[in-house]
Amino acid sequence: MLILCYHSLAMENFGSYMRQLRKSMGLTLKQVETHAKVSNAYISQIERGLRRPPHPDILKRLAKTYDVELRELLVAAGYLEVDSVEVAKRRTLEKAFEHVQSDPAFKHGTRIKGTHVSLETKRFIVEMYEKLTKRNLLKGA
Amino acid sequence: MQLLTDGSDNNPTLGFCLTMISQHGGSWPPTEEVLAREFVNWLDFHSMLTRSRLTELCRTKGVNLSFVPLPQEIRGFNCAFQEKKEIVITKHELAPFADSHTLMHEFRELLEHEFAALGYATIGVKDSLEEQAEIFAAFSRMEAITKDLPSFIEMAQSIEKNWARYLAYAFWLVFSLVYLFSCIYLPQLEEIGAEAKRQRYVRT
Repeated sequence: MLILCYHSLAMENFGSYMRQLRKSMGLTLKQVETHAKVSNAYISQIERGLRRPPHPDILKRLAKTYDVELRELLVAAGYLEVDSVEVAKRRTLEKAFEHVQSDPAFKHGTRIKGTHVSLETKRFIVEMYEKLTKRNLLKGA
Repeated sequence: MQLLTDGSDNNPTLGFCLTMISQHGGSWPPTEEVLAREFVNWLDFHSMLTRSRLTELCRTKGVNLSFVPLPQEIRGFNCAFQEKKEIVITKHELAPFADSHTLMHEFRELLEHEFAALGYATIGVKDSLEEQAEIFAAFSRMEAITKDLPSFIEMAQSIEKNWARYLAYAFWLVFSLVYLFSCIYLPQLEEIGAEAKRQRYVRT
């Protein structure tokens, strides 16, 4: 899961979150270095939980590279607090999306630009699932 | 007495897949070109169709097609559950002929789900359905323009005034060339358009 409970993520969790973001974009450490102008050794250490979350300036560049909102990274790094209701909604959405992905009776595909699946897209796919199967997965989310 | 059927009565795409298997099962899988040709004929797909005509065509084949605003990174989406099938295409696609291209792409994915369920998958586990669907979409549109070209020429031939007839020939020639060009290069053109859009957001 890419979008997780951000607040109070330990360094290790932050690192694995960053690694998942990078992998979801299909980028190598070297490519991130080139794009974000951040040393690949430093990113590797962050991903392995050996370094504290980087300065917001660096997060800003990484947000662009990973095509995510800066706010998401700032929350993940512990710089910003996030509303617990919002976190719960996101968890529900992620869970619902996982359910949709694992339902063998529901076949789906999409013509997508790039490889990153945003929250908005996940919500859309879950809503399509709800429409076709007449099931409700997003209660309150 | 209830007759046993193969289930294709309520599911025309399944019927198409079964026909393909019965006709080409000996040399399975068919090439994308062959699959596209058969599919274009089956769907009665043409090069110049409005959104409402596309919707109508899909409806006759048991697929609900709609054009809605989609998240920025999605151009089209398809899903199937039991006998229900849906294709959704972004309402804000500006590239010419992109609607048809995306529709064919989504249809190819729906077909593959049917083929796989019948034990006749046309692509390997490691192959990319996404790429095959793009190739299929390009072939389908080429097939459509090839099929439509004679009627375009006929239409031009029926014009009495010389200058108007030559103008019509020129128009159809240019149209066909642009269409064929877009069959091959549409994905690249879309990427360029999307990149330009991103740059615009960065600048503002």
